[in-house]
Amino acid sequence: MSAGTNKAVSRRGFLKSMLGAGGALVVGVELVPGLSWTNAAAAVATAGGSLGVYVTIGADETVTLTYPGAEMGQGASTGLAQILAEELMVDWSSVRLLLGGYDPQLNRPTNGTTLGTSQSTGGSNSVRGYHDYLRNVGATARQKLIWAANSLNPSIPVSDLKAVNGTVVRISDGSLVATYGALAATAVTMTPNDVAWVQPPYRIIGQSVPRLDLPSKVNGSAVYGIDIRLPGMLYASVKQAPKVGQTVGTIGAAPSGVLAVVPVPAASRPVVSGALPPIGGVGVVTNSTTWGAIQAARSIAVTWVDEAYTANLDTALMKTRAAGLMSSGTAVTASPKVGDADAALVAAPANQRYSGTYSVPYLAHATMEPMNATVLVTDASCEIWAPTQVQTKAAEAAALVTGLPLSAIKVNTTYLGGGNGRRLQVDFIIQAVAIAKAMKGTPIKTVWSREDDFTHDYFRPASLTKIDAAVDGSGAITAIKARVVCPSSKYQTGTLTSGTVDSSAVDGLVNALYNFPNKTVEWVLDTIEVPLGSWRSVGNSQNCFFLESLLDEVAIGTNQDPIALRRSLLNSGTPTHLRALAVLNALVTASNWNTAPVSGRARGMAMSMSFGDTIVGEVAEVSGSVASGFKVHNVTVVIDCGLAVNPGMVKAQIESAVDQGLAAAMWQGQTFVTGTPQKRNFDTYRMARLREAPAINTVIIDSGAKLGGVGEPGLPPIAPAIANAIARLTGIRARNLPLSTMPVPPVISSFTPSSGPVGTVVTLTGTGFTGATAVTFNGVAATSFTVASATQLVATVPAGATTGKIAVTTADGTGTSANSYSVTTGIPLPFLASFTPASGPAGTLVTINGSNLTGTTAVKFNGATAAFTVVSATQLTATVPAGATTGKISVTNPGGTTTTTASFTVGLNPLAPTVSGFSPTSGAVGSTVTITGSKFTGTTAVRFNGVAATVFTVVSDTQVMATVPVGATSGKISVTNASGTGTSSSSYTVTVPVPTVSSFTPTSGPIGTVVTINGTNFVGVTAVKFNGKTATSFTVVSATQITATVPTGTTTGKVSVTNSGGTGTSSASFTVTSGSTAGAPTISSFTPSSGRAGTSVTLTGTNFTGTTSVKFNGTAATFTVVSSTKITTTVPAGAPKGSISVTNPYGTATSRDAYDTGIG
Amino acid sequence: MANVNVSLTVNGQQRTVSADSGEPLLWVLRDRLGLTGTKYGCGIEQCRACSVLINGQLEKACDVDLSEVAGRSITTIEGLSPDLSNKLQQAWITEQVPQCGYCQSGMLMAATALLASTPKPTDAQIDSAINNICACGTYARVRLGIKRAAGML
Ligand code: FES
Ligand code: FES
Repeated sequence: MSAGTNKAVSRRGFLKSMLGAGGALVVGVELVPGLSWTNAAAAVATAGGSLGVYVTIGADETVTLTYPGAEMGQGASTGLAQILAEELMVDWSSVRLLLGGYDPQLNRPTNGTTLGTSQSTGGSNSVRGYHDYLRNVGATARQKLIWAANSLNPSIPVSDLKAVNGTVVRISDGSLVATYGALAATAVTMTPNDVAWVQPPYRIIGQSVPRLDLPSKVNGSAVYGIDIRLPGMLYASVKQAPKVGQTVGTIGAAPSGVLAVVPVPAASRPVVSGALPPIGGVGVVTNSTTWGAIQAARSIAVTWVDEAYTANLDTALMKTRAAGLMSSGTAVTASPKVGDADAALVAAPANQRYSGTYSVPYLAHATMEPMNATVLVTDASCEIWAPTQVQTKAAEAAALVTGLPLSAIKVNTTYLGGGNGRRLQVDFIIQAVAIAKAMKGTPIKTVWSREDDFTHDYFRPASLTKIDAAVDGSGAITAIKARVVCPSSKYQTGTLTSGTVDSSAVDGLVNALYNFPNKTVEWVLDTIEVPLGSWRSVGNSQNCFFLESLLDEVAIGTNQDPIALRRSLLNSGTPTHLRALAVLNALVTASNWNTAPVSGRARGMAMSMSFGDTIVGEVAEVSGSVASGFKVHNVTVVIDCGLAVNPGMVKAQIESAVDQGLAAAMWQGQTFVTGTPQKRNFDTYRMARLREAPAINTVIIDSGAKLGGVGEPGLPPIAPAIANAIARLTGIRARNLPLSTMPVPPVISSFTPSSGPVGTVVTLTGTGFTGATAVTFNGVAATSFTVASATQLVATVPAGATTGKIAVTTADGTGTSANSYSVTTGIPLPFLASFTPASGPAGTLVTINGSNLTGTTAVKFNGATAAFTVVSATQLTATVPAGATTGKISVTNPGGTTTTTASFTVGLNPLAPTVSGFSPTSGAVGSTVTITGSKFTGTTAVRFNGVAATVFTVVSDTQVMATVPVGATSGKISVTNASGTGTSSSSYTVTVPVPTVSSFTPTSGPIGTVVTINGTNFVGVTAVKFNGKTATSFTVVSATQITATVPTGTTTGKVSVTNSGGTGTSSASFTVTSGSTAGAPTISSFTPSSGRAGTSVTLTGTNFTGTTSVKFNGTAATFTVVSSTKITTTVPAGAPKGSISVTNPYGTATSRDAYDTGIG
Repeated sequence: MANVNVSLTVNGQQRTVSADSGEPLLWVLRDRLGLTGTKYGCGIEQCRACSVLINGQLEKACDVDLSEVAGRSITTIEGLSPDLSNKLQQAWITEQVPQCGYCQSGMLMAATALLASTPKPTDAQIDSAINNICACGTYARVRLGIKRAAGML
């Protein structure tokens, strides 16, 4: 059969082609309102050419077969057509495909003759679920045509008639009686009683006939939901909540161009039957395009209200929560439980027990076509065009939203740009119907942005699962116990009976194809509210990874071939197990299992049974490393799905499942932060690309068993097959998906020296050394090691070490050197870690740090022998010898010589600064000096005669501005950078500004009075004089205040202050009061009597003039002499409760009462 | 952003579009010109479902503004051939490449551009030329389809 002879019939194309054929019996469905699936069914019936809802024969001999489900790439539309065409006895090239809409006549059958209650596509159940029913439909239609031939030619008995290639011929002579086209109208009325299935060998079933939907998928004509265009249609999108579990608070003004703003039920909510979710999105209808609608939805301002649980949806919190449930959650045991696994595990010795705790993340469906639906609502009807896997559910939801009866709802199924389980949900249809309901009479296409598609998904549940196994002395598994912690969509939708197990949590574990003498699978419900749904292969997608990984751990631990291990688990003679054995045998052959892969690669295998006992075994061949990532080169798959209706499509489905499962295993996982999904588009949610797709070799075993599923069973084994290959390749067991989150162990790329005795310090170079917990030399742990950086580590060869590889262990794993370190005998080499300074002229004393320095016999600077002193085992000092040149420093002991990696620069380091000048050449403290020179970039200090400037600015590599620091004295200016110091040749003169005296207090008093002098530039004060008489006692309190005692012999006159810059004199005079000889002070009272440090206290008494100190219980306080009878003072910090004392040159007074400072 | 009138050639036909100058070509093609074979997958230049040829060059239509295509000649999947006679379309059917098919318009445009510049591509050249995302896992068959169209099988 040539490619492209078949045509799938879009409704538009269907109408044209049927009418174009002339005299057609049937009317197709145009993609406009009013001409939908149900109209077509009625039209077909009255035209009289329909042999039931599934089969329509055209006068032009075309055969149109209805597909009742969702064609999402799995090819089921072709598979079901093959079944019908086989029974109908028509030529495949005459077959056309019509996508059926919502129609109870198209419900999924429960057996060969009975229809169920719902139309849905999932569970790998299309071909196997419809097979028997459609065989009957096709066989009945064929017999109707034969009976019609008899009816039109009564002389020819039915017994002499048979159907051949769309015609009815006489058995006796092979002559043509009539074509189907000529018989169709009559056939409708026939009621044959001799319906029987066609017997093998089949013409079409089992053949890799080309798919009916592909021609339209290579020229852009296939109509997906997003492609629907209706007259007068407007475009809409939805502003979705940024977090999972939010409702709409307030809605801002509509952006321009927006025709309607419609609050709609929240997306991605668990759908509880018969109820709509709360308002959680805002529909925006525009007169623009889908792009305009998405822009408008983005720009409209909406406030959101969290649900109580929203913030709990946080990956870090959820991991902790699951770990808690793993250790102490209440479990329900799944049925069947075999024997007593707990007892067997307890009885097994420790070295015959295996245990692994595994996890998988939440997964998004990531269908290539974002969620969308087109809807026309009128007062009396609602018509939907949607890519849906659930026509019945969609219709029921639309009835709920519109309030219309189910009979008023029409659902037309488009092609699906991927389904993957996402379109088993109807949240996007509910939103689209709600928007269209607000725009009655106008068809509305509602399309989600890709970002909203990722944010509002029903995720594949995360699962944390621990599996324990016991083996006997020969390595045979005697017991398996799995404990699963996993949330449940059944729980979320209120359909989980308390105390029972959600089968999707344990699928693939409880019904694994192996015989374990003791087996327990238990489930701990995690009630977390992350919205959940079915993802390709459902529970098998994670549980196969857990079980098949654990089996591989046992195989490695017991040194068994993993395929042999599985054979031993199957060996019980039942048909399923014999089929599994055949799969394993075929896998050995097809994967060259017994021949080692090329160097640098390893193989891993896994198998599973799912979806109607389809058995799949897979071998993955992998190269790479944790650090560089892994590449899956090829995958060998053996599948026994009973009967392959279309082997080509079975292979395509295997390729699809392997690629999708590979991408999930390697890279995928949705994460959440306080309710916000973190991965919102394909830039962060990584999909496989062509260069990452493995070559896939699929072998189909035709076992003759009953039909099993095809779309999903290929997926579960790929993740464990890859993880098992990685374990063999790297020795590292990946227990958590995705594999891209595997912690990267340290890598030792080189080490030096490569040999030496115990005590040698070895420098390792590599990656991932941070946090190293152990370094071993041929298995002997180093007692001393230091992580210098993530890429360098030094370790000392420990006592007892022998020649062998070096290994570094961190929390992320262990890295082992490729080469061996040779342990020799003798004295370990000196180890040189650092030296300082890095440069200097001959005579410079250099300090060298390291280890093994005790027995040093020689130190050389670039070969020139230096005098040295051993300070300790880890430090020595050496003097740069005369005549030394720039170069490395070597240190020798009887074990040998070690040379530094860095050079010591003899002379001035060319990278050190030079100071060529400065301006101005003198100035006071606080003035700015501009220094010129070179290599000023990176300046670390500027010093004035050795006093570091606290403020400097590097203007350029040749200019620095510095402020003369307090305390600086005249001298040279130096500039320092990391390489050294440059010093000016001339000196900077620090000028001292002349003091000024602005005031003093008291302004009069007897000899001995303490006078507080205020003014400026009280720096470097050398003398204070009262009318020329030098005070013998003065204190510079600050640059603006001095206290001085009026010296004996002073007469009334001006007060002067002198420093090296000059003398400042007051304008007013201090009056020496005559004849006064003051006495010792007295204290009569003080107020207040208590208060903490800082409290101001007023003392009353006598002879306070000339007071030199005030103390609180011995602690000096600041004070002000207000008059000879009054002092104000401040309670000093730390003074205990006690008396206050006042001292002047004549004596001390102590208060009678204690002052309470609150201390002591 | 302002409304502009832009004339361009699409699959050999002269078209004039009046729309926001910043509207991506993807949506001009799909929603204004009715050429829905070019698909929206991500809108951020990741998936390449929107791939078209502009003056023979492979471009992502989600990242080309209407204002940038004035006077340009666009080829979309609908322009490959009306009757499936294009050698890549033929090869795609022979190898049964598409599954859901949503990414395949972009795949075929990328393959068209590849074969135009490299009539007999190596595996490595195919690896680097085809960066389209296919969620269905058709990659192995895309490779076969390209080789078949190139006469290499
Ligand atoms: S839509 Fe343009 S690259 Fe994805
Ligand atoms: S065929 Fe479905 S995304 Fe590629």
